[in-house]
Amino acid sequence: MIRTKAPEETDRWGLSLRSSIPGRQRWDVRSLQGRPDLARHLEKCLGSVPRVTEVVANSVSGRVLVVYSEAATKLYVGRLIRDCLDRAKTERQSAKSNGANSLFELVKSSLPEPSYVMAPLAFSVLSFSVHLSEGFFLVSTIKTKGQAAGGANKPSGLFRTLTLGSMLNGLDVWARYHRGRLWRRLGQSVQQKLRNGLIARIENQDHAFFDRNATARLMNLVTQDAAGVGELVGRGGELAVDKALTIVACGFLLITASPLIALMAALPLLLLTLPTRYFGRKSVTAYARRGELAGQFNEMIENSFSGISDVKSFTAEHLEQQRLSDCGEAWCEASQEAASVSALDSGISRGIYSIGFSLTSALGGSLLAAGKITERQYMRVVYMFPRLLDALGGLEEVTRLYHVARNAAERITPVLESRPSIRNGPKRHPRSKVRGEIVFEKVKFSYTPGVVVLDDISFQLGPGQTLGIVGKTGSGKSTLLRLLMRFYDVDSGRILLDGTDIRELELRDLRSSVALVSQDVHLFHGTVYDNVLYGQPRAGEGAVLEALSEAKADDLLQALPGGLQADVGERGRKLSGGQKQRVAIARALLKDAPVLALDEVTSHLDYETEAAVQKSVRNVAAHRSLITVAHRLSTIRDSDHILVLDNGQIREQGRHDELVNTGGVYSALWGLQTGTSQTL
Amino acid sequence: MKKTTYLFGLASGVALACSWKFLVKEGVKIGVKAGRQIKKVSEQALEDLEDASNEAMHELAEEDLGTGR
Repeated sequence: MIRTKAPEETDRWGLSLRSSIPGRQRWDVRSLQGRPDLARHLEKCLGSVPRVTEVVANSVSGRVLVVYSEAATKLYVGRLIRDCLDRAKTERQSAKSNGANSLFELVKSSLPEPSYVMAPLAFSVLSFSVHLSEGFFLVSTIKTKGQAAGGANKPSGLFRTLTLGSMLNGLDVWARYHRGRLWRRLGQSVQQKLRNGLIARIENQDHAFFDRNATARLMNLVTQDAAGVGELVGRGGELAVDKALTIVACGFLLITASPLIALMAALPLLLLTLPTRYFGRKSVTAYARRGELAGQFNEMIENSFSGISDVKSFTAEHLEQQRLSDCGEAWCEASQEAASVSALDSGISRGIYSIGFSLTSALGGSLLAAGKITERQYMRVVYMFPRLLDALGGLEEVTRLYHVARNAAERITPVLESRPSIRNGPKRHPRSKVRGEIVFEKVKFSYTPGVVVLDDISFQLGPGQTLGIVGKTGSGKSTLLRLLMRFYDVDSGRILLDGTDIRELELRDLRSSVALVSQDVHLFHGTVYDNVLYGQPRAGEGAVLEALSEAKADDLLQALPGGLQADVGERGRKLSGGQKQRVAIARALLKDAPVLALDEVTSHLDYETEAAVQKSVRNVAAHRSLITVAHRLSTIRDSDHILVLDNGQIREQGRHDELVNTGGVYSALWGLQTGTSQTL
Repeated sequence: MKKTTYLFGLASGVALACSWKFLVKEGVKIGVKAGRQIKKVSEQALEDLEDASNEAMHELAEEDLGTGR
């Protein structure tokens, strides 16, 4: 039995190939021994790889068995295992990372200029001082027995009390209003900065990132999670500063009033740490689950609404409603659970406060009766203690906001920290200087490590030449165009544009030099005019009309109410498939790039319109390099060079006549499409 | 019985009384480790057997293909 052992097959994971026959391999994975969690992860991870039919990861023997469909694929099992193990390690590390640190770093980096932070702090101090003065004033107005007997209760005194009281109240309202407004401004500012940072980071990610992260989940990050952090800074910050000042001041005043009573008041505070510690952990878990389910719910809603045509055509409305309702209920339950944990924590804490208050009042009363404290001191205790309790109650709300923000930070931080693997190259090659020569040299590529999609692809396209690509579904045609745009990087080999490896070029130069129209045409919500103008924002209306005419979309303007200003609907829903394709072609033509890449863009057009569009595009692109991917051979028969792809490899290449005469796959396809043959 | 023997026996008894828990724990640990090792070796042997039979079947299939059977 042959046991192939590549040099890379042993490494830090302790990987070595133990047994290999086509479609079945067993690997020794030393690090797997005694790690059932890692075994489960491996089974799940490898099991999700296309064409892998069975995975057995044994944590006792430290071995992994992978069974896969041996036909039609080249699986590099060692790389797959290594990739899964690396992923498990990354996940473990990110799970260990401290959420509190993430939140702190996130808030620190999102804070605006110092004046935005200092102003609400200053108003918090002012508002608190006024409020405290009100309290002092109130206590001072209460007459003791001796003062009342002295006849200090004159009408002029009442008027002064009323005036001063009203003034302090007015000042309090004014300070509170500005305090709230400035804290909200700070919160909004943090939220906006964080949101902008997230959007910038997400927009700059490569395609592999979007393959890993669902759109709805990313939307959730930008909206709800960013808002959670903003709310902690805005509302939570306001509450925290106010309540902390209250606790410090009231505590100080209680101690000065009577150290014994202050000690009695502090006892419940020590007891309070117990429920806080216990419920704190529960709260983190409950809020994390709530956040997770909210993300899932948004994801499902997005999926369901965007696929509404399919939902209706399969009459699956009821099923969708049920699924959404189930997920919504789970979200609701998780929210209730989180709320009930908070409520229980709050209830127990309040109970402890009340006991403390009763003890303090009783003790204060007995000290007063014994003549150890004055009536004024007693009044101060009775006034201050509820303020202290209220402040502690307010801190619970801060804790709740903190848990929500901390969970949000745990989700946001990995996105902000992730760096795209596709990065700018050092060389400038402006679009105006691009000739359009494209060379693929022994290109090999896989989306999932180990599952090869393109293998040993080599061809050359001269400036101004046309290339047609045909092949079965899944043969790698569209992938070839994505690699040319550098949406992904090749695993090995290279792609050259005008003799320079595209990895060395600035991404902006490369992508502005290629106008790609992909098979799943995406139109933006707006007018036909806006969508065509997307290719060249500085172009005028004349250029837009010309591009539409070249894409044979003139009739579209007549058919749509509003013509050029007609609304295309969300994702172009108001247009037919063919109309969308022609608008997309017009958009690409307006871009005026030296290389035009069309991926199945005339598939929704009738033969007559397709021929007209093809002819027009060929005329327009006479001086440009043109790559056309198509199933209909009539679309590419006039190309200078044709590639026939099969299972990620070039099976045949040449001109149309040569390929038809070769009698190979292309010839068979041609026969089938022209009706001269019945089978492949 | 000599006095020293008696004292030696007493000291041993005291030492055993003090360390019996440690000794039992160590014994259990050794037992568990030995059990794990046996389990590992037997699992590996079974897997090797499975691999060998699969490889043999494959080689047979290849030979059959070569002889055109």
